[in-house]
Amino acid sequence: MKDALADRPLEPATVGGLLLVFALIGAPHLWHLSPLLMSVFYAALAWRGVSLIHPRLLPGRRLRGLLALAALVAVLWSVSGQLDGRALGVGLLTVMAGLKSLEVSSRRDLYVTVFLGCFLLATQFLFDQGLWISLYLAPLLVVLLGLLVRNNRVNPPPWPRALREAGWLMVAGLPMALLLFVLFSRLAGPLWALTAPAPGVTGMTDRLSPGSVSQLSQSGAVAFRVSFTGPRPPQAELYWRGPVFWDTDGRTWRAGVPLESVSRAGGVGAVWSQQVTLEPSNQRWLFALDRPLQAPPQARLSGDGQLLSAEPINTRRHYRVRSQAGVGEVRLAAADRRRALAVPESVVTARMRALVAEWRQADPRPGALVAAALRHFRHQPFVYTLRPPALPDNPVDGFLFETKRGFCEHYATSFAVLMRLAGVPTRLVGGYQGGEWNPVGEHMIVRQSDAHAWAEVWLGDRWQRVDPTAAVAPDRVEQSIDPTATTSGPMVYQGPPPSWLARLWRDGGWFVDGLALSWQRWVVGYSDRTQAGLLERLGLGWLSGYRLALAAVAAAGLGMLPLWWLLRRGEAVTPDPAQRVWQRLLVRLRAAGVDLSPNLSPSDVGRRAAARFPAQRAAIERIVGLYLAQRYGHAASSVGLRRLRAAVRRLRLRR
Amino acid sequence: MVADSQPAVRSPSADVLAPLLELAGQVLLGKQTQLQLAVSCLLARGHLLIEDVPGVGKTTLAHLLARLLGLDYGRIQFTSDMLPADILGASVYDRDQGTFRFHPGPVFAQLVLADEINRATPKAQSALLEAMEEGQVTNEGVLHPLPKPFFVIATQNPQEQVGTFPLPESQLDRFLMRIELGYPDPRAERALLAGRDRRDWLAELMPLLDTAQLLALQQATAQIHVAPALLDYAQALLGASRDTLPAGLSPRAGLGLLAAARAWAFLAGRRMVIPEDLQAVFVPVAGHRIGQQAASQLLADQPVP
Repeated sequence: MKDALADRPLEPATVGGLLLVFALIGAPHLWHLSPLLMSVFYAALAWRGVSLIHPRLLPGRRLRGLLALAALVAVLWSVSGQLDGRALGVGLLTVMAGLKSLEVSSRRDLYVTVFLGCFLLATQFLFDQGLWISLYLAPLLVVLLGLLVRNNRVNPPPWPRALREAGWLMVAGLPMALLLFVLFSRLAGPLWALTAPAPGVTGMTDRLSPGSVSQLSQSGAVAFRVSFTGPRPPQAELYWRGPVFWDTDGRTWRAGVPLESVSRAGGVGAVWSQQVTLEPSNQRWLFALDRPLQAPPQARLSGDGQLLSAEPINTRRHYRVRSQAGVGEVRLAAADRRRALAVPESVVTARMRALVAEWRQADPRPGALVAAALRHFRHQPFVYTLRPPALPDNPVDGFLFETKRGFCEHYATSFAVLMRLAGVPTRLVGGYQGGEWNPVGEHMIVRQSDAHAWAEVWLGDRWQRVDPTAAVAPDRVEQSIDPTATTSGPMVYQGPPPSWLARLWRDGGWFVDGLALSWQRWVVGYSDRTQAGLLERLGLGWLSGYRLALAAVAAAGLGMLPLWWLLRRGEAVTPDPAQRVWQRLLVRLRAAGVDLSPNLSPSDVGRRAAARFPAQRAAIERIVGLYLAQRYGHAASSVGLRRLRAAVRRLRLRR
Repeated sequence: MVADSQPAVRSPSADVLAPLLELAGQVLLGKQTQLQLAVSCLLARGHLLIEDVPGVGKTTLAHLLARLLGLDYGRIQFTSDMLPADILGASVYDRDQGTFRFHPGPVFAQLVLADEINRATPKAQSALLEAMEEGQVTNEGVLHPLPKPFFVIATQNPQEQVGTFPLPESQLDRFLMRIELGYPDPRAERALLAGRDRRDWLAELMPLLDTAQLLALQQATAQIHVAPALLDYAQALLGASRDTLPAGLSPRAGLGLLAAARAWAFLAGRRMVIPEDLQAVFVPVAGHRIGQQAASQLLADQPVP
């Protein structure tokens, strides 16, 4: 049936609510869209708002057309030269949603606009799928529903009641939403995986040079979060392995993989099972404890134990990985041995040669050379600091013999150069060390400030991890660096036990961080694999492929049952046959120009129709009589219904 | 009227009422609708509240109905110093018998005109309203049933007038309908002014019905068919009143609405209630409960299912 209220004008309170909710829904786009587009959007809303008080200011049809055209040009202009498809689509939708508000005057417009608002709301998730944006948008969705609730009443209920009803509708819809969320088939492909580059991301890169890690250490941004299934390794073992640096020009080290692959030895000790949620880094490295046993899907494990993703990581990535100490190559191929010993002649100075020669004289075995180097760092006045002095010419020589102040990369690179000079194959490893345990969320937060670099030396039969920084600052390995400390003096570690207020702040932070991680894991990161795992655990492992699709449809059908029952109880959906005949007649009469409001009794309808078509008066009165008897009488019959149908069919609306 | 085009058979009982309404219409000029509503109210076993300024024929209407329907008539003029005993009656010591004897008050009549009910204090008002509700009067532990039929026509002055105690909502709810008479239109007023004295005329009128017939008519009214489709409509109206107003229509109001619609349909000679019957009685039945304006608005907004 046609909605009789569709053309009814709207109350200012409804339009005001609509404008407010639009302004709030659009707000996060301030960070995503160009200022031009957002000012058009807000200007249109403001214009409509002002015209609530001064209705004459509403633009006419022609002006609205021009505005729409101008807006289209503005959108095209603002996204020109960008390859980001989102900006065009979302920009167009946002601007047009703003302009649509200028058109809203009747209930019909409001329906359209509310659906537009839902779309606008959905576009926010193209940019951010986090917990906070979801918590922000959910109440706005309730307000949109509230608009519909108000709009569907003859006398719109007051806002609080409309919102309460809308809230209940949302709650009532939740089980259904959950069911579909869990059961709906997931696409393994990147349908929603957006591939826009994440701007301004810092993190481990494929270059390591003096200063690059100390710069990272100033950032409190989260690099990744890890939870352990099973026991948690001790803090000193938390070396999160990333890129391996083989080649250097004396200043910068470049990441690479071994030239030849060799078989690997089995590990010793505990196996740590990790579940990692990695923040986008625009790099390919998946971090795992030293050393990973197997590559997670869509990644490979290189010969030297790097986990390399098939694609650069520009969205959050979840993976499970197991690690065990001692896993590694059993042999060093000749080509790789040459790489692990190469030192550019330009950086080697006489002082360095003399130092190495001294060590070799004492004991030329690799183990002894490593120990000598570490002893050197420990006994000479080396300082571990975030703000090392600049080393323009030869960083290794300058650091070793002049400044003696440096961060982990200074120690690691100098150590590596010395070892190579001494004839011990050495490579550098970048990654993270340590992390903050979140006891609330039961996971570990590893931040950029935990970035670290260390070395690995070839002891003839295996690669041994050597952390020269630990020789200078053993605390570094046990505690995290406080990224807020920016002194140029010696390193400041996280201070004395916190006061109760600071503890509360810290625990709250942990709690929130745990929530965000769960959201990422279970909502945003709910993939075809998670789905399969969950179904397996629920004993529904046989639900896959088409069976899963059928189950989703069946569940949806079951979910609809209560609704169907409710509607049936209201008896609003199944008009009796006489009523249907009558409704069709009403449509015909309206089309023939009889003015019929829906509150007219059938007798009044008959009178109006007869007044308009006096020639048909008798026929119309007969129809009214038959209809009333059929629908309101106590002896409704199929004969009466047939007669009514025949009479309506025979009625010719001619004057 | 659509009734003319109805295939429905005219009930013989309703035929009895047609001359009654016609005759009453001659006495009370230009008030046909109000007369029909008043008779519907009586048929539906409800009580009637007439609200209007003095002198527009409230008393005449009550008196007229009493005469034509053959009901014995009691009139209570409410004043501010009235006591419940003035309405209900009191026990008086009988010296001959040496006992107290109950002297029934003016409420013991088949048709009671409670004139200017809002001039009395709430105490006196509630004495009458309780009697209306219970159909009996209790005096010193003894029940005195009121006669049958028992029909109260109360009149009240518009609330703005001085010296009034407005009836609370709970007591207004006990009246099935409230109607207004309004000033007569010029032609009716001319006929009234030129015509004979109404008081004399009333005195001459002979009853057209007896009590037994009236009770039978009430019985027949209750038998009028109400289809589920009409219940849908009634419920939609009740529901809309609750959705849109702070205090909507009560279930009692809903029952009253259907009873009144049955009576209206009965008067129109139908054996079933159709939407226009409901529409005709809706504002009189709902007006004093939720307000005249709101009732009209509800009716205008609610589509006929």
